[in-house]
Amino acid sequence: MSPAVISGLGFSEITRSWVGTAGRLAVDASASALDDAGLDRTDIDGLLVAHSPVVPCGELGVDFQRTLGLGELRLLQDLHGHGASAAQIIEVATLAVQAGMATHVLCVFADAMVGNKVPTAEAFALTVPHGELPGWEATHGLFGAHAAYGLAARRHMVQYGTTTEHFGAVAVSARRWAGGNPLAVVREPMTLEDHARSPWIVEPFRRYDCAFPVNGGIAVVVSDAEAAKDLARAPVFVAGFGEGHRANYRHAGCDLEVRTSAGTAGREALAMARLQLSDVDVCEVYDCFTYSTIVTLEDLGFCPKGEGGPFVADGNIDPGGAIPTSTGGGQLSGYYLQGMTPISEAIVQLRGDGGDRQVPGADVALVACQGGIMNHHVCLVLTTEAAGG
Amino acid sequence: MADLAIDPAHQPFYDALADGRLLLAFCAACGRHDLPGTGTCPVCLSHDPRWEAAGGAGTVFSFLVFRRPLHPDFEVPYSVCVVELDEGPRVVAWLVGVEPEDIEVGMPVHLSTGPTLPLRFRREDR
Ligand SMILES: [Zn+2]
Repeated sequence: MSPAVISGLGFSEITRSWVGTAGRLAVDASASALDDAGLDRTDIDGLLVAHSPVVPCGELGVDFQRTLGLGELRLLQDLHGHGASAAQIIEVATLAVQAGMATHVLCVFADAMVGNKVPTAEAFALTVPHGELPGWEATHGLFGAHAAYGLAARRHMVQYGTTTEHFGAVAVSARRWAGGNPLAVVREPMTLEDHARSPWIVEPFRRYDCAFPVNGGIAVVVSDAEAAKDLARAPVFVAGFGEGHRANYRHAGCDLEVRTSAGTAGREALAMARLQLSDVDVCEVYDCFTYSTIVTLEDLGFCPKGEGGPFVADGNIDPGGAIPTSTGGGQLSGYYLQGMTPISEAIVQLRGDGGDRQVPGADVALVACQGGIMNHHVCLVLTTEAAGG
Repeated sequence: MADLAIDPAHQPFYDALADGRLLLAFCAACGRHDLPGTGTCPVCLSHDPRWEAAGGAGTVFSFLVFRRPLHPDFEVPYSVCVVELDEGPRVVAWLVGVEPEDIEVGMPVHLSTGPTLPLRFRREDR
């Protein structure tokens, strides 16, 4: 069984203004990924797509095959796994390639949240029910993903003494990394004081605790390693992956607000790759809010449960830190394209394409994606060498 | 106020709220209380929960203070709580009579709802 590798990575324009639908951005990202790999559309025999709830399936679903003018495919799926879908399509592509179902699988994600018909805040608000009474949240003024994550963050603050200054340390670190990423949408230097002065959006989150929504698309080509041998770019190996899911029963005893299944997903992914946490050179997380970086690093095991706040405040995730994290500025300061944000940055680092933000000797990347509100976790281990190589 | 889309299966729940009472879905088979939801008990998979009035006592599980306006019907600042009822379920509600800066996780509260939503709780000294 030939291993699966990432042979191509492509970006559309990433912008805070309206330049077209997600479908159009997905086309640009796909063309860019094929060009990067040195492949033609006729080489593609698998297509996997994922998108946020504001993007209709008609725009970026199974019909995207036609939009992209592809011929007959041996694999085609539109995967709905919330924010973790991007990592799941990489998993499915890898499994399909290993099983011989397909040789070159194009994995595409795009989003167009800014300047769309639905205001960004409302688009988020409509998609985050806290319970199963339709409309209950809006009736109580509970709007948005930031609220849902804020409720979880508050639990962590109370249980473990995590502070808004700890959240600030994550924001400042992300901004430092973003400074070296030409694709990052916010790159001006930020201090802890800047964070503390940024306005409250919904306590406990200030403006700089929240990711900036963007419009853009990212595509990745997953190929059979043998078939990718002579392609344009050095391969990045998909060495391992794992998932962890927990439903929130909104009932006494449920604690996924402060203890997520990222731990399960990460352990499974590392075990599959036959690697240890200590082998990880860069960690790319789904940092839609500063709190998620803290809880994810704890659950992955980079620090003990409850110590994520001091861990980030001590500079461990910064450039030169013990575990460089979200090295392109993440979703907070880089670009929020769901799971494709951490995935794309891991590929950039392992290729050595990180320029001013390159982590020296980055050979093993742990990517931690999440979806829902702390519910769904998918980790990928990407490496520069084949397992056992 | 934003519109509720009432599931017909939840009508008794809303009718009771109009009388100031909070009903829970009680599973007689296993003793689980839940907010009305799927109609299936997640513990024992029974499909016929019965309605039972909540005692009204609970504690603040988590809370938020909205400071940036997101909707014209809600003037900032305002707080929104998740209350964990003594029976177990966690419900999104308002805590009235307490300034946002005085709300604490774990604070004992008691149902104090009127004929209309939002669902309201008051601080209770126990
Ligand atoms: Zn039951």
